[in-house]
Amino acid sequence: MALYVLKRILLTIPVLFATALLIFFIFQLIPGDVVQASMTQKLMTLEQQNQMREALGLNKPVIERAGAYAIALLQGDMGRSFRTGQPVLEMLMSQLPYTLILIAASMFVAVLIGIPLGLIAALKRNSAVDSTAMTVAVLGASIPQYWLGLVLILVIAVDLKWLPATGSEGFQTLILPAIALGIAEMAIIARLTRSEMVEVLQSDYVRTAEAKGLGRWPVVMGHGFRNSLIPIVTMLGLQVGALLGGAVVIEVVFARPGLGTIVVQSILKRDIPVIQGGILLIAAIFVIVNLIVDVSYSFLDPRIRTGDGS
Amino acid sequence: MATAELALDGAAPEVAEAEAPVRVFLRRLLRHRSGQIGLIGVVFIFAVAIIGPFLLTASPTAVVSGQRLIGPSITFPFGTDQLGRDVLTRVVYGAQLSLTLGLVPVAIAALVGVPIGVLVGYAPRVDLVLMRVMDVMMAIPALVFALAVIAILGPGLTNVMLALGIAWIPYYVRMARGNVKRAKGNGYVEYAIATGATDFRIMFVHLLQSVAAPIIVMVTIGIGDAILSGSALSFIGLGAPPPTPEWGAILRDGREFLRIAWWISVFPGLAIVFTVVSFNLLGDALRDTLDPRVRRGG
Repeated sequence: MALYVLKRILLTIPVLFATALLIFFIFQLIPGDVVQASMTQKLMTLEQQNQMREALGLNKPVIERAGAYAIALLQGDMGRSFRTGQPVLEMLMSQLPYTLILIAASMFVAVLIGIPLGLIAALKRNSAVDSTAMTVAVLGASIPQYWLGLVLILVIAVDLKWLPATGSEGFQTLILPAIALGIAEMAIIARLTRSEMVEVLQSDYVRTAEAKGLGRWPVVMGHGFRNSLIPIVTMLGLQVGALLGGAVVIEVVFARPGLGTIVVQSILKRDIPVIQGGILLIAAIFVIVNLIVDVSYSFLDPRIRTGDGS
Repeated sequence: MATAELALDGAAPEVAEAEAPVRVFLRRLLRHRSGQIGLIGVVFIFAVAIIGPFLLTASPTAVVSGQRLIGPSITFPFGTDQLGRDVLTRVVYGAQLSLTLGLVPVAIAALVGVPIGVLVGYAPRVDLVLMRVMDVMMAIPALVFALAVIAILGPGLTNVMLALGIAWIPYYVRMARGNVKRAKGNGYVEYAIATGATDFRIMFVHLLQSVAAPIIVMVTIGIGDAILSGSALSFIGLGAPPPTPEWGAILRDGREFLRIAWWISVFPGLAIVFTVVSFNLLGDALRDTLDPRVRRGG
């Protein structure tokens, strides 16, 4: 067990490393170079430009720079912002908690609504309840999150004044963004829970358990739902990618601080080191979450840690 | 169950003998309830995009100072915005842009991704290296990858479409590769090899057919996703610049007036929901009718 977890953790390191290099090489494709690209910020004389190139090591061959970048990363150095001169890692780390909390909260919303919705739909299959639940799910997957955010601000914050529209202090400011961001995941989780449960409820072991005279709910939860958990957890892990992307937009809508806000601002201001670092950090979160998901399988399904699964 | 397993083994379904497969498929699709709704919705939105501009007299961009921020009425069913432009006109003109925004990224991703996927699925030697690159690309969430591309190319609607297209390539590669790998063991591929068909012919005539159904499903649902992601990027200021009537851009412009003029933000949003729901329902129906095995990917 410990060996399996250790192996998975070790396998993640080359992935993170490769991701960092891929992002590094993508940013080498900037037309001209980073100095020219950041010129919209402030005008520099040719001499200043060359000084900056010298300082950033842009005169060296790309492979050498990639190596230097990798070594710097290992030391926790993502360079400095072109705009403020602050270390990029420091800037990002101050924003990271906001984004993580938002994502955790929206996953909570997705699970809290999605799983019961899917369960009820599966149990009342082909009824009005089922079709209502699935209509909600289709709508949830089709609503632009930022638009739902606007509507929530309009109705809940402006008209009803129940919750604050913007801000980042306290639990109350988190509710509306979490709902807006979590709605699509809720829809996916509801549909998945339904289809998994429909399948599981028809299986032999559920029928056996029912035949033994166990009540409906013990069978559904103990035998049925437990076996639907692996696909649901997998989906939650994969959907963190979508949540990280969605968080970028939701943070802007609700004027919340976070990785998304800082990356978008940096794109508009052409602050390349911050964009590059922000994207790498978001990718790293995604990779690490999926590592956690992989490891959690082994708790949910013992077959995996013994090597029967893949 | 038995027939389903037969179909999995590559044997032709029984109905195919009696009727052309395309007609069988169309009949099933038209009988599928969400297929009907989705198809009507998609046809409607295309009709609005193509015919709509000819039916309207107002300009989607011209400023009319005398009619600012008028609420929905008979003259202006969707109201007017802060510059006196008719919101309905802007939404109708936006249909064209937003459909383009939905179609182009998916076309880029499919046209680049599927051939690569077929190739790596068929030729295992190329597979190892390329799939590692794709894995690494997929470690970056698609929308965030698109942000990286926009950071390099600069903001704008064209760049947004390109960025989303590039970001989705690995998903099409993986889907095509998986289906090709599964189809390779089928009798008809072995038969094609035995009769001396070239690799190219096997890949792009025989194997491509095996990915056709899942591609159609993925593309249909992908169009909805592209409209959502693309309009989101416009909304945060990285896509269409003002006064472009792209739906996400209209929403961005209307946002400041949310408290006093809800209609500027509500109607374009409903247009997006309507369009994306239509594509999603059609996609679901296509999945059910074309291939019950295909599941929705991330």
